[in-house]
Amino acid sequence: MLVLGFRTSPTEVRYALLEIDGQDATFTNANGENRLKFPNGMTTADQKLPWLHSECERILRQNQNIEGVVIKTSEYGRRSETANVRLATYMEGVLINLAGQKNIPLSVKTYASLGTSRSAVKAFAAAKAGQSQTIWNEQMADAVAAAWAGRN
Amino acid sequence: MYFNPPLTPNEQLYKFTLINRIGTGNFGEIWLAQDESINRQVAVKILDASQAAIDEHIQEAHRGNLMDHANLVKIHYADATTRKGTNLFLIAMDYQPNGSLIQGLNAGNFMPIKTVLPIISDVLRGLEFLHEQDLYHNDIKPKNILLGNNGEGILTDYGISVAGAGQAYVTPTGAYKLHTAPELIANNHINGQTDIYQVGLTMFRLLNGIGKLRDKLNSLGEAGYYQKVESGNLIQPKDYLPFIPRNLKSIITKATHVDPTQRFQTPLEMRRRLEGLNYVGDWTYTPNGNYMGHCVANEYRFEESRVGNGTYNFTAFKKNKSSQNERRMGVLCKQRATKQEVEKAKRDFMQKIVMGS
Repeated sequence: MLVLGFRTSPTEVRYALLEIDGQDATFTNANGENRLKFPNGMTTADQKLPWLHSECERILRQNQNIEGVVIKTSEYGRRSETANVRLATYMEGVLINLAGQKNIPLSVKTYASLGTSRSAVKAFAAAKAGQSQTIWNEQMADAVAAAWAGRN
Repeated sequence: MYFNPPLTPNEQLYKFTLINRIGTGNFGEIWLAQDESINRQVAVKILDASQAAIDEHIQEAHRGNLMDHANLVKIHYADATTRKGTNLFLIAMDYQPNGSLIQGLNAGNFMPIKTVLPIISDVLRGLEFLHEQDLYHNDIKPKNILLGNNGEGILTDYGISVAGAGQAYVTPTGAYKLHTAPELIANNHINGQTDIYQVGLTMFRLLNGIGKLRDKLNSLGEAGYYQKVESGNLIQPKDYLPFIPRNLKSIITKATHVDPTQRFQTPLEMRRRLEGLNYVGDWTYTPNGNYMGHCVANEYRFEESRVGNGTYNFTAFKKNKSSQNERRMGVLCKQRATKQEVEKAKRDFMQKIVMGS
């Protein structure tokens, strides 16, 4: 089954497409596009969200066999309610909306429900599905870990 | 071509009441029409069925009907009818009241950078979808880009589109002379990179003057023009307007590379390069025949004057849009300079506005 893992931030979005068969996962876009960087000059939510909407539409259109979407959301906690977190959450709403329209099962996870933590997520994700060829960081690992959590 | 006797407003053609003609081409005419069956305005392409095999028209309609994308005109249905003994083929599609980009050109026959770039990004979005349907558009040009209600670019006219997937080469049924790609001249074939080439030329013309390539064709003749295309020398550095930044030129150069394998390999790849650009200001051309720059809260202009034998003055001005106070930008001006020095000062000044620096 193909699962889309998704992790937002105010400047870019990382996504992972994992082809999962039981306990085996192939990170299909490890060497391809896995980063959606907002165009230069796009600074506000009303500019970023429509752009992200069209990008998510494209990803879902080009991968019509996606059977599940999992979003790694921001962690809840003290002092976590910032403008950046809000914007990242609006972005999650874009994908939640699209998945709903296309009837693709979706879930939203924190580290606790993914079974890992911020400090361990890179090793966790790499062990499950491997690393992206470029810009392997916590955000990318979050997306991989999220997709892994979407297996049956 | 025009029909004889001419089509006229209020004429009833099958279920359509013609309103006004919005375009013509080798194929026939395009009319804004009221579809009486659904009480809706549509654009109707009216083709003389004797001018091309009916299969070609049907194919165009079939292809256009697949275009469920915000940046592609969707064809809704196709009909055949007869008018005064002539068999006609009617293709009904979305009507875009803003018309094509040609309507948005300024007095200098170009469009400001900040207007063009989002539109080209839209076209590349539409083109990506079209390629996913295993089609090459093969007729990308300013006239075939419509402006939607939100200012978005919408690609239209699938009349000479060709079925083809990936990088596979196919032989097209037609070509637009000005945008004929090197591979078509050399080998009579096109692929997805040919569309990229045409997007590159479209962008060049919109930014620098829609008539620049037509002028070249007229002065060089068809053979001379094609020779320039094949040798990769169609666009010269001097063809660019002085305010076009280097990083934008490099995108056009890559898109129009003579070797298809050296161009952007997908519409997405080209779109990503455009999205990496960020220009704060731009330049337009006023009906009085002057350049006018815009950057945030200010307007910019310049004056060039000959002051002596081979010497010139260049004076740059900045005007606050709200206060309307104008001041001379002394540090950017040149006194008693050579023509070359003035050209450089002008280029530097104009690009400075574009970059917002």
